[in-house]
Amino acid sequence: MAELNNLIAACKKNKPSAQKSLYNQLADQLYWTCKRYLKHEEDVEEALADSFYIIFTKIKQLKNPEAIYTWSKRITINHCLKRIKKEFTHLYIEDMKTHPATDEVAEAKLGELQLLELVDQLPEGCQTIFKLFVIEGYTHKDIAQLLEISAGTSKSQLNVAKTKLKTLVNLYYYQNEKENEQAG
Amino acid sequence: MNKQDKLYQEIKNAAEKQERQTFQNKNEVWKNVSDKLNHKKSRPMFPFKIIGAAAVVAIIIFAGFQLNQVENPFQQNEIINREIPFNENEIITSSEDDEIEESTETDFDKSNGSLKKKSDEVMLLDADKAAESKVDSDATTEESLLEDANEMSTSAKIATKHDTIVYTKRAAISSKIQAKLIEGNVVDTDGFNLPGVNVQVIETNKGVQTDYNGNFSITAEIGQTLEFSFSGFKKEKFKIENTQPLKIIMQPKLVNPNQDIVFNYDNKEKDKTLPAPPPPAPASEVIEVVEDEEEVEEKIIESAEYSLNEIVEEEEIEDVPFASVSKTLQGRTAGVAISSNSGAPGATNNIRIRGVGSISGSQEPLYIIDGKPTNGNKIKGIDPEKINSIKVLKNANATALYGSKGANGVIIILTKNANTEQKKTFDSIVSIPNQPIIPNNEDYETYKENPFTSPLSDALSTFSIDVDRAAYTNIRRFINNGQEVPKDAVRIEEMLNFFEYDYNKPNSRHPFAIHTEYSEAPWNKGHKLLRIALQGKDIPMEELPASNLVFLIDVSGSMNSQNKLPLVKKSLNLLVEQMRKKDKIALVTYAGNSQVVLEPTSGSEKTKIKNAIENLTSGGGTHASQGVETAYQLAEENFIKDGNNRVIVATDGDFNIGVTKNESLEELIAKKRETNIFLTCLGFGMGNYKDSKMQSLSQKGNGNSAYIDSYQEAQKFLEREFKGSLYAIAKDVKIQIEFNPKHVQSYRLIGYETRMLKARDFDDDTKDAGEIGVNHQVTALYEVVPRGVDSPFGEFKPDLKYQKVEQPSFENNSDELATVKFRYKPPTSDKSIKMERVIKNESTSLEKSSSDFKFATAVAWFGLKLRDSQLITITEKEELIKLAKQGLANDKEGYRAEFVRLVKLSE
Repeated sequence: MAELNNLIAACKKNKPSAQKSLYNQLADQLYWTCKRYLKHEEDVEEALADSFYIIFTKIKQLKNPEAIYTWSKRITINHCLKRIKKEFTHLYIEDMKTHPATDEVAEAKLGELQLLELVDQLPEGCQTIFKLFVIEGYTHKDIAQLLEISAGTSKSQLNVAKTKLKTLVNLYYYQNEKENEQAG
Repeated sequence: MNKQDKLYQEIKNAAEKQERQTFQNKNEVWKNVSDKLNHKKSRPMFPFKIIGAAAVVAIIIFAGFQLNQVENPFQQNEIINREIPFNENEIITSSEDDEIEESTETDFDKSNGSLKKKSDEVMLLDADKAAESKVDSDATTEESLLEDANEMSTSAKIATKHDTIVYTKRAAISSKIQAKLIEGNVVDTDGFNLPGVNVQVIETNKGVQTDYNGNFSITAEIGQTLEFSFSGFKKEKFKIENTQPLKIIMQPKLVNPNQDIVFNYDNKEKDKTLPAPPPPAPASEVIEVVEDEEEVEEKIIESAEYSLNEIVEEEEIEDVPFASVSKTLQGRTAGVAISSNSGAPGATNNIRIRGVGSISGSQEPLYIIDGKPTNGNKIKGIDPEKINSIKVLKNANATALYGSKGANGVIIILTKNANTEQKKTFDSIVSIPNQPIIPNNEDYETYKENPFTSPLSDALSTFSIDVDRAAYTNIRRFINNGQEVPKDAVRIEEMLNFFEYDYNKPNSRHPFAIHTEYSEAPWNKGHKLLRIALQGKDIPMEELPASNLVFLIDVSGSMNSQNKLPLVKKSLNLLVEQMRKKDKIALVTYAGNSQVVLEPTSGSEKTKIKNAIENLTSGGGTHASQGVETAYQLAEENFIKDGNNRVIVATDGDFNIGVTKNESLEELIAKKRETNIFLTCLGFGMGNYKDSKMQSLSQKGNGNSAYIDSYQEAQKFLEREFKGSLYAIAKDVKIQIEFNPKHVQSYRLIGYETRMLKARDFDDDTKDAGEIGVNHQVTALYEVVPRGVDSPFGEFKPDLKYQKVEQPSFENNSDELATVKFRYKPPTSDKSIKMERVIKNESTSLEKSSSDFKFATAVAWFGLKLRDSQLITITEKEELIKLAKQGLANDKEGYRAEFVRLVKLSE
C-alpha cells in the first residue's frame, strides 16, 4: 500500500511520528512473537523494545517496504533466540516408549487457546523448534543457523515435539471425553 | 498424516489470531523505544561501558530506594545485598546492537522520575500476566490479582545499563499456574507393570488410569500431589517436584481383621431377571463400619470443595460429620446397622463392605455420587438432607460396572441435585443380594475334553481353526471377581490365542505361514507337546479392501447399564476412527423392532456417523431376528465386490423376544453365509452374556466374536487389532494331522473341542470352518505320548477274545513325527487350497524350548487346571507360575504379566 510505503520512507528519515505510527502497526504482532519464545514475561517487553530499536535503526536497509512484516518479525525472532540460545546445548531426547494413544491424533475439540497451551507444554528446546517450523514456517536450515545446531538435530527435535504433542492432544481429548461422559 | 497436518495448521492459525490481539503495555514500551531512539539521535558517544557499569550500580541503589518507598520499607537491605543477575545473556551484545549500549547516562536521568512509575507498571504487568495465563478464565478473582501484585512487591526491580528491567525473583513470578505433563510407570513389588491403576491429582481430582504397560500421562503442576490407587494395593502418594518421569512401586495391602466391626446386611431389592435369592448368607456377606486411623489423620480441615460433582453447588455442602451420612444409610437401606469405634466427633468412619468379592483384602469400597466416583473423604462433605437414595453393590455386580475398583463393593449415592440422566442411570443399577452371578444365567456350551487316542485307531485328527479370544477375557472376569470359573467357559484354544507370539510372517503365495515346535509337556511325565502355529500375513492399511460394514446394535432395555450401551458407543467410535473414505458404515438397531438408524455412509463423514452412534438410546425388548434380517439386507444392498462385507453385532446376548432358540437364529445366519457377508459378534456386559449364542452365531456366520468387558479391551480388539478383527485373509481354514504310529503311542488335541471336524470334512468344501484375519495367529497344542514311554495315557492293548491283535508294521517314513495338512479358501472364493507340512521326530527339552513355547504351555496348563482335567497328573501352581515367568520375555503389552497375576489369584 502506498500509505505503508510512505510511512516506511518517513521512518527511514527518522521521523518520530512515523516511527510511532509504524510501531503501533507492528507492536502487537511482535509482542506475541516475543512471548512465544521467551519464557519470562519481563524479558518479553525488554526484548520487544530492543527489537524495535533494531528495526528502526536498520530500516534503511529494508529494500522492499511491503516485506516490513516478515522482515520485522525475523529481526524480532532472531533477537529473542539469541537470548535463549543457551537452551539448545542440552536438548530433550525422549525415550520413545510406546504410548497407549492411537497413532492418529484424536479429533481434538480444542479451542485455539487450549491448543497453544498444549504446545507450551512441550519440553523446552523442541518446543521452540516446533514453533519456528510450524508457526513461523522456517526451514530446518534456517533453524539450524539461528540456533547454531545441526539441521539433523532440528529435524529430530521436531519429531520429538510432534510425538509429544500427539500424546498431549490425545490425553486432553480422552480426559475431556471422560469428563463429558461422567457428566452423564 | 492428514489429521496431524490439520492440527499444525490449526496451531498456526491460532498463533496468527493471537498476534492480532493487542497487549497491555503498548504505550509504555513505545516510550522505551522512543527514548532509545531519541537518545541515539541527539547524544554523542561516550565510553559508556564504564559509565554504564557505574550507572547501573547507581540505578540499582536508586531503584531500590524508589521501590522501597512505594512498596515495602523493609526490602531495602535485601535489594542492595542481592546479587545482580547481570549476565551477558540478558543483555544484547551482538554487533548490530552495539549502538544500544551507548547512552545510559541520560537514560538514567530521565528514568529517575519514571522509575517509580515503572514499578507500578510492573505490578500491573504481572497482574495482567496472571490474568493472561489463566487462559481458561476460571476464577481470576480480584484477590488473586492483588496477591500477585503483592508478591511483586517483594522482588527488586533493577535497571540494567540499557534501562531495561530485570527481576530477581523470577521463580515466584514465572512459574505461576503452569500445568506440566507428568509421566511415569507403575509396577508392583515383583516389578510387573500394573495396568488400570488410578492416578489422581489430589488437588484437582483429575485422574487417569495406567495403560497396559503401567504407564500414565497426566497434567499437574509442580507442588501438587499424585495419588495412586489400585484394588489390593496400598495407596501411594507422590508430590511432584519436577517433570522427571516417575517410577511408582505399589505395595500389596494386607487385611487387618482386628479393626473390623461386623454387621449384617440384607438388601431387599431384587433383580427381576434372576431367580429368588437364597436366605442371607452368614457373616461373610457384610457391611462393616470401622474407624480407620489412617483416614482420620488425613482428612478434617478439607474445605467443602467438592469439585467432582458439577451439579452439587459448593455452598450447599456443609461440613458434616460422616456419622450423619451413615445414619442416612441406616435409614434408607433396610437392614443396615451402622456404628463406629470411636465416639470422637468429626471422626471419619469408613464403610467396609465385605463379600465374596474381596480377594485382595483391600478395604475401601468405591463411592459414586451422582455418577461420579469419589473417595471416602468426600463423603463426609455431603449434607445428608440432600441425599435422595443410596444403593450398595457387592461382588460381581459391582466389578461388572466399575471394574476392579468395585472389588470391595460400591456405594452409589443419588443426591437431590442429580439430573434426569443421572437418575436414570442410578435407577438402572440393580443390586443382587448376597450372591455372585449364577453361571446358569450365562450359557456355555458343554463339552468334554478330547481324550487320548492311538494313531492306529484314529489316524487323522481334524479341526477348524479358531482365532476368537472371548474365553480368556471371560475367565479373567471371573477370576477378578473372585469367583470360580465355570468349566465350560474355559476354551483353551481361545486362551492360547489371546496372546501374541513371535512367529515369522509368511513370504509365499499363501496367506499364512506355518510354524511347529516339539518339546516336553510339563504336566505329564514323559509326554511331549507339539505346537502348531499359523501366522497370518499383514496387509498395509491402504491396501485393505473397501469395507461395507453394518453395525447391528442391541438397544433393548438390558443394554442400559454403564458397561453396555455406553461402552458400545465408545467401541464403535474407535472403529469409525479407522474408516476411510471408501468404506461404508450403516447403523441398524434392534429392540422391540428393528430400525435403520443410519444409511450406509462413507467413512469420511465421521461426525455424521458419530452423531448417529451418540444418539442411540435403549429400551424395550430384544427382537434379534428382525434385526439380523435388516442388517444383512442392508449389507447385501451395498455389497462391495472383492471388498470386506461384514455385519457387526453389538449385544449383551440377551435375545429374549422373537426367535430365541439357538437353532433357528443360527439357520438364518448360516444361510447368510453364502452371501459372503462376514459376521462379527461383540459381547458386552455380564450376567446376561450368552456366550454359547455368541459363539455359535459367529461360527455359523463366517466370522469371529469378542467379549468387550472394558474400554481397554475395546481398544485392543477394535483399534490395535483392527485389521485382524475385521479383515479376513482366509476363510474356512481347517487342519488335519496324521501322526506316525512308529513314534506316537497316543495323542490328543488340547482344546478345540467345539471345533472338531470329521476326517472326511477336511476335503469337503461345503463344510464350514474358521477364518483368519490380517496378522492373526492361531496356536494349537497336541499332547503326544511317544512310543516307548510308559504312561497311564499310553496305548491300551486289551486282551481280546475274538480278535487276534497283529503287530502292526510301520511305514518307512521313520524319522517323521507327523504330517499336517491345511486347507483354506481365499476370502471371496469357494474353492479351497491345500498346504502340507512334514514334522520331524526331533524334540527339544523344555528348558531349551522357545520362550513363547513355555508361555503357551503354561497357559494351556492353567486352562487344563481350570477345567479340572482328568488327563493331567502334575498340577502344582508354583510350577505353572515358574514356567509362565520364563515366557515373559515377549510381553509387549503386559498381558503375560497379567496372566501370571491371574494364576496367582486363582484357587
